[in-house]
Amino acid sequence: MNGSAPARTTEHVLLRALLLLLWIAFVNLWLKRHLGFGWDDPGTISIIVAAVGTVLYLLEKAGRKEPEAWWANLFSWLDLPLLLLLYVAVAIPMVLFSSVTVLGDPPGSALTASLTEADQPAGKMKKLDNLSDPNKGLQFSWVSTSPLGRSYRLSVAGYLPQTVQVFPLLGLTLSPRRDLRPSLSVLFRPGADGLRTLADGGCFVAWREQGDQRTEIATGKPDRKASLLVGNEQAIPPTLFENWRMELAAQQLKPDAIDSRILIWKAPYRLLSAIPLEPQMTLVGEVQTREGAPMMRARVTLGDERLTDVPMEAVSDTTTPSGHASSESACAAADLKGVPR
Amino acid sequence: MISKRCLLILLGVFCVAVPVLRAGEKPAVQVIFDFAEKQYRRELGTNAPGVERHALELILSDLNRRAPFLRFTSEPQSAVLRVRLGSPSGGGEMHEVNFQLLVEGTDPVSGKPLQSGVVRWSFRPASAYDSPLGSPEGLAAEIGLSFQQGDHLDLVRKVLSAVPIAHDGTLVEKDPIPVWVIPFTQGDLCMDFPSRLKIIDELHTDVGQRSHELNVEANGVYGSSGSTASASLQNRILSTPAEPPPDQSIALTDVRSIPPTSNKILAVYVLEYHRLDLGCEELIKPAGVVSGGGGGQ
Repeated sequence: MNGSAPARTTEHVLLRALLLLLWIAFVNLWLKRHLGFGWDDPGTISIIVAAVGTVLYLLEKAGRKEPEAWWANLFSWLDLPLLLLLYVAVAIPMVLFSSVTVLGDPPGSALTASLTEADQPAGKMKKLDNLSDPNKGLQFSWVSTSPLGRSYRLSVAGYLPQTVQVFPLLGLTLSPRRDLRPSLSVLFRPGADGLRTLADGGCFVAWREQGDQRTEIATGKPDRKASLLVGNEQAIPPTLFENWRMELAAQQLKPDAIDSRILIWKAPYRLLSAIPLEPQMTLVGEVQTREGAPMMRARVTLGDERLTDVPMEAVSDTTTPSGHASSESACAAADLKGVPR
Repeated sequence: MISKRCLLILLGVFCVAVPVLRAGEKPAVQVIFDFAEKQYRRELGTNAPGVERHALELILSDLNRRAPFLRFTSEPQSAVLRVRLGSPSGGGEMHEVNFQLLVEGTDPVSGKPLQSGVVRWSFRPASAYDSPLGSPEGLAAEIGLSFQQGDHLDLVRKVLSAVPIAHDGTLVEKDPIPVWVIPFTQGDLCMDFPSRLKIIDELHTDVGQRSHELNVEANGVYGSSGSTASASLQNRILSTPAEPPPDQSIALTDVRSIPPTSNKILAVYVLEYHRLDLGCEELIKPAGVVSGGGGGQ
């Protein structure tokens, strides 16, 4: 009995030690990837594990017994059940939780993102931003998943929301600029009456239209003649200028008036949208007088283009697109909301 | 037999229906300012009536200062000067906004409709159509200023010349050239010489009545003394036939062939008006003289 016990403890001691080191390295890797911290640099630990394993293997092959005895004493407590327990203990969280990492691209860019379960849009939403340290990316930790993965809806400010699959172990890492589509922008272009109204202190209001329902998504008072860019900051493609030129020429404007108008339109007043603009959304934009009477209006259903160019038309009635009486509230509220100028 | 009461009623109706201006009393013209530019009006909203009211005050002030041979008022009158700014139907993307002025209504004495040409003055050129309107007060001031800059000579020639300033007058001489005296002093109309008038002259003859439309030049004041009748004409503006064109020789020959007593002035119109540089209230009326070139012979 006494003679067989040491033999059992030295049996496969090198293998057990190697498995422990592998466990440590693996846990370290997982922590680093999914929680953002670990004991050390994963590379260093991996190199140590590999080096020790190789040395022990070579010694065993050479028939040297001293190191084996030394290791046997050191790891006498490490029996197989304990190893199994350690592996099972970390395997459970590793297959049930993962992470989503959003890289700052380019480095230093401010990020704001939210993550919700795709099958429960109204469920709990995780929101993160890196405004305090724009050099860091964003990491959603402890994202619950399953061995076969789980779907999430990831929204990053400035990009279209996207449904992503989050798998255990690997998690998800993405670069917005590479992996996401920028959210859409709409350029509303008022004509002469709308431009004058805006310069006279009128305001612009944009709604999202869903059937009879209308949701205000942006308001602003440029206090100057301007086109209105709702959504992301977006460079205006020079090809549009020529279209505008033809459009104005067809309206019998003189060349100097055309040039002047294009200069105004190409320097838009930007309005942040309360919701990201997505394809198939129907938007209505309206230029209103200081008293809230509609002057110019445009309705557009968004396509896939990053920038939708919408000319506005004079309003012939005094009701809003949905038949509601036009109110002063939108214009009056524009001041209260502190819309960017 | 018409009763005395009926006669009194008829007399009363006649007095009301045919207002007769006393000598020196200028006819009143109602000025209606219509801020018609559709989109400007929509933008102004509830401020539009206030702008109209303020602008009308400025326009009245300008007209009474620049064309004081008529009395311009906002009170209802049978003669109306309509000042419309812009178009109620809008226009192109960038269009000129202008004043349109015309006279309409009726002549309170003759009951005939008043019809004039239309004068257009620019308010904003097409290139400035989209310029901000600014505050209501500022806009009204801009309207008043633009109106002041209009061609008032053209306004008189084409529009205000449709309003008769008088329906009486006297042919005081017929030879060698006819001389008419109108029932106003130079101070009444603040008129400098020469100004041009149009006289509708009616001649009563044994074979019937003939009327002539004569262009005359107001070029002096009547100052002869003597008879009682002439004394009532003292200091009144006199006028003599204007140089052609148009050729008025036939009409003038006809006028000369009839005694002055058979001559009746039906209406007097101002065709070309020159205002006295001095304030009218400062005018020193000449007495006992006939001044000005060509008249008073």
